Amino acid sequence: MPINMQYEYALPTIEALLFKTGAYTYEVIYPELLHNGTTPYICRNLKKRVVDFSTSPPSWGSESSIDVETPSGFTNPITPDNGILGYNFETDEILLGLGEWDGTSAHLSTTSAKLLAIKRDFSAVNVIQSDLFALAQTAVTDAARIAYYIQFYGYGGKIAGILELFSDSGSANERSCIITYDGATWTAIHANTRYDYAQQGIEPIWGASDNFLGWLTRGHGTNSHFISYPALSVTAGSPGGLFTTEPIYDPINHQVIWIEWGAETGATQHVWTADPTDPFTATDVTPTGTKTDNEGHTIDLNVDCKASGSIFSDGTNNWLVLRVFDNPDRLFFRAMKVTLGSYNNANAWDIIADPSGNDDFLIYGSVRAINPTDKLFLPSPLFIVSSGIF
Amino acid sequence: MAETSISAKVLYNALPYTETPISAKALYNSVTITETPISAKALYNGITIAETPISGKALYNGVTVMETPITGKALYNEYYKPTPPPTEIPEYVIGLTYNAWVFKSTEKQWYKDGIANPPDIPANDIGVQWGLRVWSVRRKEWMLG
Repeated sequence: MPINMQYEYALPTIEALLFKTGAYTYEVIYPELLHNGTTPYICRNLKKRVVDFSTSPPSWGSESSIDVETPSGFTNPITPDNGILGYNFETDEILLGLGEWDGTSAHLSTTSAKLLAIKRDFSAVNVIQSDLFALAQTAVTDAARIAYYIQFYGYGGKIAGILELFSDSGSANERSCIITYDGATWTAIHANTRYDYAQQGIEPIWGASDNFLGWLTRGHGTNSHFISYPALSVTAGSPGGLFTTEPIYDPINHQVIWIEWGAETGATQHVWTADPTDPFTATDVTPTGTKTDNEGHTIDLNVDCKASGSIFSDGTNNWLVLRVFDNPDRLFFRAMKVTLGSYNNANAWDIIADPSGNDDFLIYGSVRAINPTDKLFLPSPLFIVSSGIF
Repeated sequence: MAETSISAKVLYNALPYTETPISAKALYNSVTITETPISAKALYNGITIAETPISGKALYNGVTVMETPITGKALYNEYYKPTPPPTEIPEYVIGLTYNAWVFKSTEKQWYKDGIANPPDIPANDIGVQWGLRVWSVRRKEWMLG
């Protein structure tokens, strides 16, 4: 039986960053995503609302907006897929990669992309990297385009990020690329010591005493990487598995949760946990068992794909919320939750429904909540679901 | 008196239109429309459409594409709301200390941290009055309220 959430609020986006600004208040910052009939990722403005949990029901403030289209210089700026936003903890800026839409693709596919830094108070937008593709080509000489994924996070004057590169128009010719900024120089790294599979997202991680350790990447074909702070050294690895390994930092338990997705073979799609100081030495906590949604679909917790994880809390319940979709057929997608730390217990997993009891939606973008003063991730008091965005 | 028929005539289409095809051929309802190519070139069925790049529209290859915000929704619960205190204080609770809820029976409502606790609560009230010694269940010792 799916579990109903108490409240819902409409937002024109698939993901957001939240900033805790008071005991019960959060700024919710999100890209307004426009569907033009071909792609749902056109973005001309970044938006902000304040949600206040001190009232019942929680209240939402008015929407404010900042133009990112004009500073980008693009006619039709398109965002990456899930993993759209990042944040620079040092400068208090939202980091947003944008490209020029190619006019035909449903997703980002471009040779013209920039990295924008938007002040969290919406006072300014600056292009801090004006040609990500040319930068990537300095390391990946046969790169032909950037597609699907661009994401950056900054900490302590350093910035690390990823691009998904292809050497031609075919989807099988991926190239692995990591971008770093040491405070003075941007550097592209052809991160292919393990595989040349694409980088698809980036996650900051901290140690048990809230000490910043660096960044982990979401790597296609288990091609994840750890980028150390402050040295910016790059190490390839994975917690196991065969497919895309996605890290999520759990700030409550100071743990890295890895989830796996991408199989269309019926192979097990794992869940692991790891100490952030040794993130590739992971414990397999993959569940077994099934759940049934409101439409009668059977979700196999062992083999179904697990992606787009976020840490959710309502103060009483602390969950990993994520997208689960059937493997091998990919016929239906659902939002699910599992109690933190109970990943291999099927009873701790539930399908999520909205307040009306509808469960026909999915989580496609991640949500991260941030304490901008202490420069830490927090569990998020909300997550975002959508329909039909792939 | 001699009557003379008057002559009258009806005039119509007195000014035949002269149509001169112009390069971009914009003839419509006998009115010549002058077309001026604009930057985003939006010529459609002989009518010039003024395009203004505004938020919500994408101009691409000369075709105006309507953009529609996607629909997502945030899901959430009550968040860090104080757990409502019990409706009755167990008999063994003489009182609670600072940073705890107290119940004022005369008003049938709870107060927190003593901030809203008026000084005129009767001594025999279930709630805590400032200056009274109360037993802290949490600390297991007598304290001043």
